[in-house]
Amino acid sequence: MISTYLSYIFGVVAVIAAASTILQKNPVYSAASLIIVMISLAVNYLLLDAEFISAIQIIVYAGAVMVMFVFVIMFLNVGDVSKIKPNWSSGRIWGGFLTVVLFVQLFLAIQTIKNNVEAKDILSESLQGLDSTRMIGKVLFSDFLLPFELVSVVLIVGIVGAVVLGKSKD
Amino acid sequence: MFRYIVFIPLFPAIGTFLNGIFGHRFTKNAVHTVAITAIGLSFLFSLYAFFQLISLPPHARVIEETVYSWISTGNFSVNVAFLLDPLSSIMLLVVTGVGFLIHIYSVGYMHHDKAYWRFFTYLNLFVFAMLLLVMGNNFLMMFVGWEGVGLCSYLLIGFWYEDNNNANAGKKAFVVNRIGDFGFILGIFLIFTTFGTITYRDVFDKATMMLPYGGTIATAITLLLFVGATGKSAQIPLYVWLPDAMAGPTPVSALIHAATMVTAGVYMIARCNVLYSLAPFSLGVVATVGAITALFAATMGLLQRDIKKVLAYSTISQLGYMFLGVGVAAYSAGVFHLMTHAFFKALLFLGAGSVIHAMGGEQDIMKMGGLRRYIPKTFLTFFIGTLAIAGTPGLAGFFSKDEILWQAFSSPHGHPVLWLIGAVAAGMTSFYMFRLTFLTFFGKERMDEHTKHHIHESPNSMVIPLMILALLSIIGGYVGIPEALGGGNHFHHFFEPVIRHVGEPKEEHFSHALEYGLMATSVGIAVIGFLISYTFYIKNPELPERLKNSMAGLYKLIFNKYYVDEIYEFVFVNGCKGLGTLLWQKFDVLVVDGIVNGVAKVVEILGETVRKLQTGYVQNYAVGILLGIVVILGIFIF
Amino acid sequence: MILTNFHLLVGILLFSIGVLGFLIRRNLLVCFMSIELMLNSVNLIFVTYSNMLKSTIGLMYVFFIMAVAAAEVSIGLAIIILLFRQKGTVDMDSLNTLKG
Repeated sequence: MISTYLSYIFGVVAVIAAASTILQKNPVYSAASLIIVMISLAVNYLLLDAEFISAIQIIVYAGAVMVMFVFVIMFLNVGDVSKIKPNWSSGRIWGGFLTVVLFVQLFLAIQTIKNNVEAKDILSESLQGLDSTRMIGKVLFSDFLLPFELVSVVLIVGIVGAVVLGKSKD
Repeated sequence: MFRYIVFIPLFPAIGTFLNGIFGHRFTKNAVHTVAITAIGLSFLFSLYAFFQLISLPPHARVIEETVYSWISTGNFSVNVAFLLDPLSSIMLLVVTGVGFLIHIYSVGYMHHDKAYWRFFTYLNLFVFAMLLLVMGNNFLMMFVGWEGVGLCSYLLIGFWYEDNNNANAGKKAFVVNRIGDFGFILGIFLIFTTFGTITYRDVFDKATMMLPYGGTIATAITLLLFVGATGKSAQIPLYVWLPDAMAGPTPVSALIHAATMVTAGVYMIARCNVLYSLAPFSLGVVATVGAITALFAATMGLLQRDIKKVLAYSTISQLGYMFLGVGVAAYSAGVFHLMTHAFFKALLFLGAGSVIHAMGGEQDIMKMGGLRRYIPKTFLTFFIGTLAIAGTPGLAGFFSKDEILWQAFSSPHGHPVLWLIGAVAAGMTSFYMFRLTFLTFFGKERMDEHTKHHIHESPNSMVIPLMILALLSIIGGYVGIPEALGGGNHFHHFFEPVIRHVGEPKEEHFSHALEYGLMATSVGIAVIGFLISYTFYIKNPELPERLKNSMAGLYKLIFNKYYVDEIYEFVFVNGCKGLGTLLWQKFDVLVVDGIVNGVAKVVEILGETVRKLQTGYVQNYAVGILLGIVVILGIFIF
Repeated sequence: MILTNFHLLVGILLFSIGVLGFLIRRNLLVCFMSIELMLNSVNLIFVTYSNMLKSTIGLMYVFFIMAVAAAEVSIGLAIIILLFRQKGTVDMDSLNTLKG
């Protein structure tokens, strides 16, 4: 019961914060709103029995990614100025219209969900009754070993790329 | 045991190859030795094959020897194969025999020519193609030979190509031939679609079973094939190339345009006698065209001044006779006349060549006269040829021409009017041939002194073939003496197995008296022609001039060959040129270039339009992506 | 309509808002943040399904999405810094040199 109410509350919070993200003039405020979104989502993950995911959401997303964002905003000094207003060109109007259409379509799509379906994948067999962290641990280093290694490569590429791009011309 | 007939076309082919590749380095002796040996061997083999053929019983005289399988796809197969039966063996003997004599003649005639080797190469090539034509056992082989002889005709007519007139004559011959060939090949296609095969034996067997008497398919096939024959054998309306073809050397005229190539059409009809017998309408067309051509060409031969042109029109006229013969379903009579005509027409042409040689190149008979004292051997043989072609009783031409005229009258497909046209043409033939002889060899000598001093008899290499041909012109007819005169008509009986009889109307039996009567009439007409000619050119030489002046308009019309060439030039040649120009300017420039340039223009405009999509703003591109996603989702949801 | 699953609704709502933000705003950084918003919404939907279907695969997806998103953000921000050095502004309407 409480979980249901909490999920409602934090869901609403997430939506309001998201709206705030895109509507604020000052990008620092947008970043702050985004942080609120992420924390609400982390709570929602907890309510959905995904503790590990919730934890790394806060650590990685809210703690690292958003910090980088704020850092860059400050670095580029666009925080106080922010004279950039949207101009309503035809492209933007079409964009808005299509977004609404998209939302309607997705809404219709989720109406057809069956609630009590259980996925029959091999992973769920041996993992009944474990908590999510253990499940993730077991699966990650056995079936998903290759993607795991590849992700480490991606991260290295990210590091190298960021360093190279960030160098000033000497 | 007949395998050796494969070599008959092979020898001239080898001769062509050797002379063609190495001839320019050979001595003149080597060149003509190669060529004459080649055709001589072919003649010997043909002779041997003939005698071996006669030793077989009549119904077994059909030999086929396959060299290799040429096309073999699914149900359709065509082989390079040779057929030996009475018809093809007669043609073989004529082609190789007369060809051999003409090769020997050419040694003397072309002696001073600098392209000696090229001449003999082409001659051998021609014999090879002609042998393929008459020996093939299917329509495709015949067509290969057909086209080959057309090519050689072009090469040989335009042999002295430095003169533009000769080249144009060759071109004209080839183009007019081609028009006929178009009909011919349509006929072959029709045969293929109707019967599914083009081998003679299969087509003729199936024809008797499949085609109704007088049906449209048979008529269509035969008419199309006949169109090809009018082109190759110079009948109306495609005869116009033959007089121009006299621009070639005289041996060429003798071989190709008298004895062999132009007879290919007659051979074709005789070979396809089944198809023609099944289509009486086509037979009527063939006979009528033949008869009218015979008369028409004879009128044009009355007034010509060039010795070779007279003979050319005479050839067209005699070919008309042959077609008249096969057109009344007297196939053996037509082929018989083909054979005798080869003898005396080749003789006449070679004799004319000898006269031209003696006169140092002069061909206008009005500048000759009284030559019989100077070149007696040529005169004698030429006179024998004239007698033969006029139908003098006892010589070759009499029996064959008379057979045709009799069949034209009495055959179920014949008609008295056809006989009448043929008889009148025979009278004219006699007249103009004797006119030619009288003006050339008798009477006042009209040449200038310089030429007169150089008149000399031709060398032996030219005279001996003349004599042999004269002999054949005399005795060649005795194989076909009709029963009415007590002979056994061996020719007809020899030829009989080739003809298949198909449900034709019954032959009426006329009395021998009627036959004698008609024979006497035709001889009488020939004598009248001789007498008129004698009167005009020996007794009263001023008579022709007075007649010409009194009928000046008619004279001009006939002398200018009824302006047929001019009409063709105006209608067809200029018409084609005009059409070509029109298509070029209107269609090619406007439409085709317009389409091509238009496509480029469309692409350009399209590019300009699509270019506007590239605004450079990422958000616009994202809107595009979103549009696509929405559409796809829409398809999935609904 | 009865809300069969509230989390799904939140997810698609967040996604739509992210799309809208990406298409509407002129500030490059806010645009980039909208992309992050979209990624988060997807994570939420994955986790929802993982919970609904009792499957671990959804969580694995989330794990990898997060890792890749982190790398992507670092590179993206580096590029934005470079752009700022070139253009002197983070206005998206100034980025039209690839105009055809």
